[in-house]
Amino acid sequence: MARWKELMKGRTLRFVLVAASSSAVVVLVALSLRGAVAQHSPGTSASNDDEWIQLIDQARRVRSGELPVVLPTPVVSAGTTVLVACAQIPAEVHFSGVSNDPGPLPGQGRTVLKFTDVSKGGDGPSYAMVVDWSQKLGGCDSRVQQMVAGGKAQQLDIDAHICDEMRIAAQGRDLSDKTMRQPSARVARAYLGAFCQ
Amino acid sequence: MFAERASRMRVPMFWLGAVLAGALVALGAILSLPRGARATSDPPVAYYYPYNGWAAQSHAEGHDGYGASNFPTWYGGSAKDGGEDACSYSNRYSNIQSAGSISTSSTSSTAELPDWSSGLVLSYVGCGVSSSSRTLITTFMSSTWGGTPGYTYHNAATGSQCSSQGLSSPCGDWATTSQVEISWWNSASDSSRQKLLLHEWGHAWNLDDYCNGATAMMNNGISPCNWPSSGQYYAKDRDAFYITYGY
Repeated sequence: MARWKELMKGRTLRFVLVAASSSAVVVLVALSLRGAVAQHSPGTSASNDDEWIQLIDQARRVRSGELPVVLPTPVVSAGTTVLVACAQIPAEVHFSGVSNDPGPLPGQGRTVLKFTDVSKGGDGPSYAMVVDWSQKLGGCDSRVQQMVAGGKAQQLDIDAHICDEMRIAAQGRDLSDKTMRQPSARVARAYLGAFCQ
Repeated sequence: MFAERASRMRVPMFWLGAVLAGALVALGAILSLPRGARATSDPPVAYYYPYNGWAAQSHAEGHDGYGASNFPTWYGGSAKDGGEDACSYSNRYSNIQSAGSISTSSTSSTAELPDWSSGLVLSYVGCGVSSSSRTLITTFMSSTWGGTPGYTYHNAATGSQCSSQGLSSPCGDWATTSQVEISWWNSASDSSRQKLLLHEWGHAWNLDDYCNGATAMMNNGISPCNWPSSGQYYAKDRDAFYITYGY
């Protein structure tokens, strides 16, 4: 009996020790995952030129397909119906949320639209639609066509604008666009080499 | 034979049981941690755009866009997409300035936003920025893309655009544009103009349209959800700011 008790004591102790260590492993993994998410959302800022160039290189590798791209799933409020085709859009809609979500390559991306059917007043049902930029939009609400075309065109404008500013910075001069962070000439040259050829 | 197999299995089963028990305890503890967001009996106004939109940009620029005191940003400027700038007419400039002040005063030191003593702060940078600039731009159009007096859309930043700012991706919006219909603006009162700006900037901050009975600047403006008689952010709007950023 005493031997059995001794054995059980030892087994219980071992059980508790193993349980505690596996708890610790699970907690550590969870915390490290949380840390990883916190590090990337929202953007972590480079504190020196080397880090900045590293980020540029990382983005270049994503664009080249070397690193995977993960586009977040758009979150739609409860009670909102997700539509998949232009033909499903009600006749009288009020757009309440529009976001252009570009992919890594020029011309790639999607526009997330949210709208309300206002044919019977402002308290009509809510809808959402995700339009891929490769999707043909003939026959779609003309406003949707304009929003998507505008979103695509603006991405090209933004990329061209950044390249123009980087050319200025590469000469060691101050950016003309004060909404952008001033890079060193070295960082600007790295960006030009990666994205402005 | 069976007893022999059972005996061989006992030791691995013991360890497996211990590991599983530990993992379950840890998972239970993690899942029971407080989440921060408040429950509402009403559908939330908040709408999460990809990458958390404008607020993520503000945060990435070093402003504490997630629940502390400030959401500094810029507004104004011209637009390449057929828009006129916000500075060429004094009524545009003065109403934008007023709406910016109302935005701050109606969100500072309130019960719904206890940590935001300074409220939503917008700083004006004047003209000379474009829709390719990294900013919130308010531009004036002969007709908005949404076909309404005001219309706001987000342009999320790509990985390369984030890296041009020394930021990892995702880093929020590159630019957010609020379009205002010129003919509507010219025939509207100052009060209506300021309400439109507050509503559109609410969209810039990721708030969705609202229509569920409460008084809110994010009401969609269509009966029975007309805008309130006084232009400001209300408790329902502030709740939405808290739901979106207050964690």
